[in-house]
Amino acid sequence: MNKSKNRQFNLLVIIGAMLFCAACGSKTETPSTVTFEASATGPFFSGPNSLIAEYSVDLSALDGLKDVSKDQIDEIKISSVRVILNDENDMDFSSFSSATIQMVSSDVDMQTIAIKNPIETKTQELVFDLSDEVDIADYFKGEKLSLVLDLDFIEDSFIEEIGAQVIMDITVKNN
Amino acid sequence: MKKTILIAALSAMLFAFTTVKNDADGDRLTGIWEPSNGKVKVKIDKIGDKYYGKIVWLKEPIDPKTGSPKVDKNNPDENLRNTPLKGYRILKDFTYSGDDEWSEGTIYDPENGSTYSCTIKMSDENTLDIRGYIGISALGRTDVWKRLKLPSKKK
Repeated sequence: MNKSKNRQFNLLVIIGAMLFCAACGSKTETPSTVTFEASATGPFFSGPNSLIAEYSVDLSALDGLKDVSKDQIDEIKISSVRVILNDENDMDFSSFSSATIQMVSSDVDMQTIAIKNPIETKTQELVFDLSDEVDIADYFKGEKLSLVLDLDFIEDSFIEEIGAQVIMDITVKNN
Repeated sequence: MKKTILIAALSAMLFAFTTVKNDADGDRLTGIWEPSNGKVKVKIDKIGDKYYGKIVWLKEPIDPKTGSPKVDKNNPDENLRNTPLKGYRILKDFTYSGDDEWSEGTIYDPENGSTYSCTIKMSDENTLDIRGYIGISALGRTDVWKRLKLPSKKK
C-alpha cells in the first residue's frame, strides 16, 4: 500500500518537474527597437504640453519579432528610451525644464515609463531615466496604443507644430 | 429587401448619432478645474477615448526644503520621485458612463503617494463631485471641484 503511494508521489514529482522544465525552456528573449512619432500643434504656453504618438501595433514590423504573434508575448521590458526633437522645430531641449513619457491604450491604464528632470542640455537628443521595471506587454497585445510625451515649456512658444521621435529599446520575452 | 436595407441604414444612423452625442456629453469634462483646497488647478483633457487631469498650477510651486520646484517625492516607484508635480496627471483613465458621470478612473494623492479608485459626477456645468475610494464607493470621500472661468474679454 505504502509502496504504491510512494510510486504515485514520485510520478507526480517527475511530471511536475517535466512541466516546469518545459515551461522554462520554451521562453525566448528578443531585443528590438520601437520608434514612435509624437507631435502636437501650437501655440504652446509655458508649462507642460503633451505630444501624442498614435501607434498601430504590428510586431512583424519590429526587428527580430517577424514570427512572434501577440498571444505569444509574455513580457516586454524597456532597456532604454531616447527622444530626438525634429529638426524642423528649430528647438533643442534647453527650451524645456523637464519631460515625462507615458503609455496608454483603450484596454490598459496609463503608466509612466520614463522621465527627465531637470533637463540640463542644449542638444536635440536626450536619454530619459526609466521607471522601475515597467512591463509594457499588455499595450502590445492590443491593436493600438498611445504614447504621451509631456514637455514642460520654460516660456510660451508660438511655433505651429512640434514633433519628436521617441526611440525605445525593448526586450521581448515570448513562448 | 428594401425594408431591411432601410432599417439597417436607420440603425447605423442612430448608432452614429448616439456615439457622437455621447462623445460630446463626455467632453464637457474637459477644462480647468480647482479642488476645494485651492492648492492646485487641474486641466482635464482627452487622450484617445479616455479623460486625464494634470496639475497645471500650484499655489506653492517651490518646495521650501529644497528651494526647487516640487516633485512627486512620495511616489511608490523610487525612480519616479523626481517627477515634477506641475504637469503630473493625478486623474487617469476615466470613461464617460452617461448620466453626467465618468468612471473607471483613478485619482492620485501626491501628499501620501496613494492612488484611489474614483468617480466623477457633474452636478452642474461648473461643478464636479470627485469621489475617491478604496474598494467600494461607500468607503470614500467626496471633494467639490469648481470650473475655472476665464475672464471675459473687454470690448
